[in-house]
This record gives sequence, structure tokens and C-alpha cells, in this order.
Amino acid sequence: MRKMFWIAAVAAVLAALLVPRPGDEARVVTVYTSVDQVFSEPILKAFEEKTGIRVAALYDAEAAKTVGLVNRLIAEKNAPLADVFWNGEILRTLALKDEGVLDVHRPPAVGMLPPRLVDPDGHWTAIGGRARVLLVNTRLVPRDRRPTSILELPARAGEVAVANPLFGSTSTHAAALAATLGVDRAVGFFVALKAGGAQVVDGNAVVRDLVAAGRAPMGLTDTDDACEAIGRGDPVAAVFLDQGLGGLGTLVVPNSVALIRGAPHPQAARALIDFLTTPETEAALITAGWIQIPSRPTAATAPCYGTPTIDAMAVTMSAIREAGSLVGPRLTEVFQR
Amino acid sequence: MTAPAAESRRAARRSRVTSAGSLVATAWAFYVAVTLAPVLAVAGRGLARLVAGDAEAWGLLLPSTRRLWLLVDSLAASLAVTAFTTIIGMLAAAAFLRRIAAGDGAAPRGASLLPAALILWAITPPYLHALVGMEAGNALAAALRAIGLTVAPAQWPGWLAAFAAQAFALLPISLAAASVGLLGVGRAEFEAGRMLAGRGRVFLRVVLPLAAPATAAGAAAVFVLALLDHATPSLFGRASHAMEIVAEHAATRLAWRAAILALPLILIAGLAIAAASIAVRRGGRALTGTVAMRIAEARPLGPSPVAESLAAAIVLGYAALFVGLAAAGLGLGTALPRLIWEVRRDLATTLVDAVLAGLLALGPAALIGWHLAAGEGRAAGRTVVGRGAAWVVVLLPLAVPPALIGVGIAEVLADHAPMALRTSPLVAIWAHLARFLPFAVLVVHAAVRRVDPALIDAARLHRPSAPARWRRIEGPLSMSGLVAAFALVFCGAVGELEATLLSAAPGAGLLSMRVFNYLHYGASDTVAALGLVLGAIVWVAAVTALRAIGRRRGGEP
Amino acid sequence: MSETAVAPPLRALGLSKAFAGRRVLQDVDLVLAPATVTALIGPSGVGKTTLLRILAGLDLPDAGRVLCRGDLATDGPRLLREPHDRGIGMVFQQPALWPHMSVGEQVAFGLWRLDERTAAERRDAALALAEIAALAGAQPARLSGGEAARVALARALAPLPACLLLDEPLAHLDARLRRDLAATIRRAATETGAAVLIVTHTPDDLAGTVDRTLGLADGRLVAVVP
Repeated sequence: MRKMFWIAAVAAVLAALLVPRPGDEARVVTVYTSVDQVFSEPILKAFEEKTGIRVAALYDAEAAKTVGLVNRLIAEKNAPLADVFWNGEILRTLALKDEGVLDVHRPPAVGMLPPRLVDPDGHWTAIGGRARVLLVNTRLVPRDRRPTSILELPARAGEVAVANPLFGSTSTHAAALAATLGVDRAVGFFVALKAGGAQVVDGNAVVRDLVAAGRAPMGLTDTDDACEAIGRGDPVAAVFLDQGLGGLGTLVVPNSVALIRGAPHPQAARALIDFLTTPETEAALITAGWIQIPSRPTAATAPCYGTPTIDAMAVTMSAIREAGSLVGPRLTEVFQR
Repeated sequence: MTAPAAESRRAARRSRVTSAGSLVATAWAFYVAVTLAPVLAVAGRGLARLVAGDAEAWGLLLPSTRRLWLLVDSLAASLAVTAFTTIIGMLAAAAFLRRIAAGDGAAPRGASLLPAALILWAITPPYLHALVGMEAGNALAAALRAIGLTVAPAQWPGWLAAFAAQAFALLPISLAAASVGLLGVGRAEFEAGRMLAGRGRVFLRVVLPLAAPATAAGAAAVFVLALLDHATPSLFGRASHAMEIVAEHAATRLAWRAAILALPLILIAGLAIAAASIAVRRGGRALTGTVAMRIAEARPLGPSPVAESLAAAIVLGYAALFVGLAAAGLGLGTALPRLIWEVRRDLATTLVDAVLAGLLALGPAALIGWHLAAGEGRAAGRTVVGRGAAWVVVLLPLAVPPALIGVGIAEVLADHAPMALRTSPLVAIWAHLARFLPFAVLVVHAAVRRVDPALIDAARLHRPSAPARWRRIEGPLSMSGLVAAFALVFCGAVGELEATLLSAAPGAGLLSMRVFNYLHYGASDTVAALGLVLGAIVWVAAVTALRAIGRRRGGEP
Repeated sequence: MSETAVAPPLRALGLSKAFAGRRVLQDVDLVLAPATVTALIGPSGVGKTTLLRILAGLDLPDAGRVLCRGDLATDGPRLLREPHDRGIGMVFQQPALWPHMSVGEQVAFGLWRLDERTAAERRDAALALAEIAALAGAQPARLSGGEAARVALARALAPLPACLLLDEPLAHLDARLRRDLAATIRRAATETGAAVLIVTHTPDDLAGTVDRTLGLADGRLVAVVP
């Protein structure tokens, strides 16, 4: 009898702790996000406080940036756990649309956003952006020796660090170059970097640290990582490449948000997407230092850069997607095999 | 007694014996399901493809130049960590024993704190050691700036920073193993040598061979842990073969590919563990008496006081740095409570998950630990092959990269589990058990081997093996082992990262994951505070367990 | 400081040692002559082993000196000569055989100063003296108690020490083995010329073997009249 009592008591405690309570589902939303936790979590907490809806977030590991989450979403397509995908870039969101993972939702903010940042079919919405920059170590690379175009880098590959072009914003950059220059030239660009002795590392943060420490004179990274190093007082400077007339322009990689098809909590998911795409959220991300290039007029200023005016690369999202599907497998052969 | 009554007593006895056997079988089944089933599921798919001659699978098994170089590089890095920790650990252990021996035969005060300090050091997660390194660099830069020298925070090359973080994280294992090895050298054996040859010769020809089994076991443990760790090198941008498993799974979402990639690591780690097990089994020396007594008999066994002092200085210097930075973390003042409040949900989840993992580990660890020890005590009824197979099952999970464990759990859940399970905290608890249940079994087994067999034999004269006898005899006799096993699983679960990162449900909200994600941004007050909280949890748990064990043994550490 | 060429193998002057406030040795003087066997008796815990360990250089006295072959080896708490450099062989209470070395390797361990051929000869001679030549290749785990005691004795004798200290070598042996080993010890002293000091609880086992008997009581050495 006592034995049965203890077994029942333990089972009751375990059930109370582990089994979700009925009625909880409506007050929960699950988001997969590749936006770094230090930036995304405050936003998600603000959403929780505003709406009372609890956010269960899954963050991605540095080395397999974004791709891990994307592949997980594809694998879970028939029984999704996630409600929302908040991506720190756009390429993989486009891939998810093609895979049929995304559902249609047009948040109120779409009316205020440029058309190129809104999916015509309503599967995704993009806000803000980080720009791809060349971070240079000011002690090793004097001003008159700094490249002005990305196409100068292969000739100086031994001085360059770059993140693995299969993952994260670097993969988006590779796709954008392929869309602009052609797939062969884009693959050739990265092959030349690798063959020339460029340091290919796990992520943009690693590129930042290498350049800051002087172990790589320069490296391709994002504006948020560059700003981190500038804010630390490291001897670095961010160079926006390909500016001016005739230049390729600098790639601006926007954040993207999408509703997952078959989301377990669709109502809460729509509420979260609406929140993430508001001007207030974008302003908060700019002030925090995640976004440096606003997608609409804002009073918020980005640390390090203020309100930058740059020549962006003229390339559409669909062109990036199409080129990405072609350049990805070829770069996989070079960098993963 | 009437015939029917006698028969019913025999039947009851058979029933009790059968129920005990059923419990043990259930424990083994639980163990295999938790630790091996996820890995076997994905590895099985990979092996099936290999057997079927799948070209893609074979292409993966035969590594490309890049992957071969990565494997060689990872092996070299692990061997370097092993060599460093083994040499420094041996010399430092000799130095501490020399210092202790300078006392006049009485057990020196505070000597019993040394094992506790080593345990606290060993259970601190490696990424916290990485944080210490980063903080030390920042502190140095700040100090230099304060005196007018403007420098960027000192940043070592990635390979050196990763080496240092792993080496100092794993050093206590080597130090403890060397101490056990040196304490196992009999005083008379050492002095008989000293009557005939100088210190260096006696150290090489007498002390080292006698201490070799324990030292080798420590070296094997360090090597395996360093080889299978992908999180620490990734913090410093250093590629590793273990990380390749993560990257491959992320890139392709095909778990069988990750499993094939993991095969070389499993093979190498398995060989190392097997070699260490054989060495310990053949030459390991049981430490008779209490640790305090052995310490009191310590003699200066080392080869060179200068080398030993240098090694001791390295160990103590790092320990002082760690403690100093932890103490400085307390100076965060009001920031610390605010941060703790901000992460209260993560903190609660972490603690509950760790407690549940510890509790769930106790039953299987106790039953399997006793079962293994019983098999060694009597040859009858258990063949050598059977005993060997049992040990293979226990030790094999230790050779599996934590990343593959995480991949396996995620795969099994994705294929078979209902939504409620896939989003429940049980996922993280499963990852914790998969990682640390084997250690819990080993700890209980070691504790059981210290139990005088005559005590069990006396009980056997009165009662058959059954839960009732176990509760009154075997359980209390091995209680120190059970406490240690719970503490080990709890502390491991609090700090565990690699398997959890890959399998945790959304919103799992574990403190270790938060610290690791923040660490990729480098050290900051927030990370330092979170690291301090995490460290404090494991240290308090370990000290509590050590005190409980010490009380049970009458004050012996 | 050297004395004349006829210095005794071992001399102790004014040795004193205290443990936890208890005076174990008090102003002990001792001289051992070559080719003699001296027995040291006394109750358990009186300090016999302590005296041996101080003479061997394994422990240090609070005060007093130890001279080995006329050379100052210990001066108060200062160790001037290492244990292996004193010309002293020692057999401990437990044989203390190294499990990873064969009998032959154990016995040869102290012959590292010699060339290979001489070392082999010396080793074989020690084995023969201890009557265990047939066990040269054996592993310690396979030896009986008596055989292990002889191996320990051969190991201590192989370097031809000027002085041989034995700490209750007969303790764990039966009567016949004790007699045999005692005879071997006597023969060793005679054939090698070593001065032997043997601690024992059972002086009767050494009847006919010892040249004199000393007792240790209240920290002082006294001659015991047989």
C-alpha cells in the first residue's frame, strides 16, 4: 500500500512538471530564430510582456548558422513544432517557401515596407538589414591600402578571413554575387579565396575576432559583428565595398519573418509576426546594434554607424534564391567535401 | 511445517528472486534504451548503407583530404592536451605529496580538502574555463589601460586558446589520477628503491610503472573528453572533427551521414577506453585504508623538486585565477541579483531537469553497479564473455561523441514521438542521462567494490536477493556511491551542452545553452554573472554531496 | 669529514628523535663492526624501526649524527648523503618486491653503477647466496612468503653493502623458514663482510646467529646479556 502511494505521488509530481496543461497551447508560441540570442531575446520578452503569450524560442548554434534550423523545419514539415521562423537573413527563408514549409500571412506593417522586402505571395516579410562589410585591422592595413571592391580580395586572399559560404549571411552573400556576376564567377571568387590562402572559419564572429587580434588583416563580416569590435575599442574599421558609380554595391541582408504551415499555435504566431515587423521592433533592433540599415524612416540610430547612406547591391530576392540554388551545391563540393 | 506451507514458501522465494532478476533486467534495458538506442538507430542506418555498398556512404567513410586532415588535427590537439595534463598532473601531484610529506607523519590539516577541490574543478564545464581565459584577457587589457597603455584585449591564436581552455578544464582529472597512482605506491616499495638508486631512476623504474595504470586511466579519460568535445574549440573558431558531425547534420539533416562521420572518433575513443580499462584491471592497485591515511603516509616520490614546483605553480596559479575571477564576479553587486531574476525561468528549468535526471539515474546505476560487481566476485554463473559484454555495454556510450547523441535523440523523436514528448523537458533529461548515466554506473560500481563481501555474504545467509534485502543491506552499504552518482549526474546535467544543443525542445531554456550562446559574443559582465551562477550551482551540489559522503564514512573524504 | 681508513661501516652518535611529544630515541650511540650480526630487540612501537630508518637516511633525527664508512651522512635534521649513497642495504618488514619486475631484475636494480657483465655476476652471486638462483626469471606474484623474503635479502645484498639493516625479516615465516633465513643472514655477513643489524621480536630464532644483542627501551640502547 505504501509502495503504491509513493509510486502514485512520484508520478503525480512528474506529470505536474512535465505534461503540458490543457489551455496552455493558446498562450504559447514557438519561434525558431537564427538571430543571436543577445538580440532576439529582449524582443521576444517584450512580446511576452505585451501580449501575455509565452515564447518558446529555439536558437541556432554559431557554426551551422541558420542552415541547421532550416533543415530542421524541412524535416518537421509534416508535423511542425515551430510556429514562426525569424531569420537573420533571407536566402534560407526563400528556400523554405519553395519547400512548402511556409504559410501565408501579411502583417499590417507590409504597407510601410519597400516592395522588395515583401513576398508577393505573402509567405514572408523582411525588415531592416545588416550590410556585408570588409572589416580591416587599422594597424595592419593603412587607409591607402584598403580594397574598395570585393573583386580585389582574391588577389589578396592571404590577408583575408571569411566565414564558411555554406552558412549564414555569407551564403546569402555568395548567392547575391552569383545573381550579380554569374554563378561561375561567384564560385570562382570563393575558390580563388580558398586557394589563395584565405582563412575560412566558422562564422562572422570568428572573422571579427581574427581581424581584431591582427591574425587576419581583413575579413568579410556583417555590420553588427563589425560594430561589436568597434565598440570594444579594437583597432578596426568597417569598409563598405563597391560604393559609387559603376560599383556592384554593398549587399544588405534583411531579417525575414514567416509563418510556418501547420503551425501548432497559428493565432499566437500571427501576433508574433505582426509584432516583429513593427517599426518599434525594428527601431529596437537598430538601437541594440543588430540592424544597421533601416527598411523605413526611423529616428533610431545604429551604434557605430549612425544613419548610414550606402549604395546597396541591386539584386532581387528571387534572383538571390535562384542563384543560391545553383551556387550552393558547387560551394558544398569545395568547402564541405 | 506442512508440505503445502513449505511449497508456498519456496514459491514465494522463487518469486522474490525472479523479481530481483526482473529489476536488474529492466535496469539494463533502460540503460541501453537511454544511452545507446538513439545512437544505434542512426548508426544502424549508416551501417546498413555501408553493408549495401552505398557509394555515398562509402565516400563518406573514406575521408576526403580535408576531413582526413581535420581528423589528424583533432587527434594531435587531443594528444597535446593529454600530454600536457598528464605531465603537469603527475609532477604537481608529486609536488603536493612532497609538501604533505614534509609534515611529520600526522595527516596534515586541509589535506582532505584536496580531493574536494579537484572534484569541484573537474565538474566545472569546459566553456566556463574558456570564459575564465577570456575574462583574464579582458582584465589584463583593462589593467594596462588603467596605467595608460592602450591595447586590444589579449587574444591568443584560436588553437592555443582552445588548447588552454581544454587543458585546464581537464587537468584535475589527470591530477587526481596521478595522485591515486602515486598514493598506490607503497612506502616500502619506494624506499627499497631509494636504498639502491637515485631519485630520478627510482621515479622512472619503480614509481612510474606502479602508478601507470591509474595515470593511464586518467590520460585516456582526458584524451577521449578532449577528442569528443566540439563546443570548446568552436568558441575559439577552431574546427574539429567532432564539430564536423554537427555541421554535416545541419547541412544535410541526414543523421546517418553524421553517424558515419562519427565512426572514426568512436573507434579511436573506444580503443582508448578499452586500453585504459585493461590497464586498470591488470595493474590497478586498490587503495586500502582511507585517503587521509594514505596521504599521511605520503613520501616525496617525484623526480625533481624544481620541475614539481613549477607544475604545482601552474596548477595553483590557474586555480587562483579562477577563484579570483569568480570572486570578482561577486563584485557585480546589484547586477547579479537582477541577472538571476531575468534568467529565473532558465534557472528553474535547469535545476528541475538536473534533479530529475539525477533521480532517474539512481535506480539503474544502483542495480547495474551491483550487478557488475557481483559478476566479478564470483566466477560461477557468469562467463568471461558475459562479463566482457556487460562492460562493453557500460563503456561504449563513453566513446560516442555527445553531438551524435544529440543527433540520435532528435532523430528518434522526430520519427516516433508525439508532439507532447517532443516539446517536453524529458528531451533534455534524456540527453543528460545519455551522457552521464554511464558515469553514474561506474561510480556506484567503484563504491560497491569497497564493500566488504563478508557483509553481503552474512545477509545472504538470511535472505535471498530481493528488493527488500537490497533496501536494508546493499542500498545503505553503497549509499555513498549513490549520493556521488546523483551528484555527478546533477552537476553534469547542469553544465551539459553538446547533446542538449542538438536535441533540446524549443524553449527548453537551459542555463548552459544561454551561457554558450552568449559566449560567442565574448566575455561580458552578463556572461560572467551567468557563468558564476552556473558554477555556483554545481559547486554547491558537489560540496553538499561530499559532505554527505564524508559524514557517512565518519569524516573520511 | 673523513676518519681513518678503518672507519666502521656504520656509526651513530647522539641520535635523538621525538614524535608528537614522545621521545622515541634519546641520545643513541651505536657502532656496527664488519662481518658481525647485531640483534635489536624491544617492545612494539618503542622506536626500533625509527632507528633503522634514520640510519638508512629514510628519516632524519632531531639531533645526532650518522657516519657511513667514516663519512658524515646525517647531521641532525640535515641529510648529507642520499640513502642509495651510504653503502647500506635494507630489508623492510614487508618484502616490498616490485610487481612489474622479475626476481632477477629486482636483484640487479641496485647494480646500475657497474658494467653489464660485472652486474650480472654480482646478481647471480646474490641469488646464490640467498639460495634462490632458480627463481631468477620468476614474477613476484608467484613467490611464497619465504621466497619473497629471500628475494628482498638478495636485492639488498647484491651491491655488496658495508652495512645491512633488516626490519623483522622473519616476522611472517614459519619456524623452519625462520631458521633457514637466519642461517642465510649469518652466512651473508660472513661471506660479504657486511655489518648486519637485525630487528626482531623473536631473538630465539637468531640463536647462534647473532654476535650481540641490543635492547631499545625508553629511547636508549642497552646491551642485553644473553
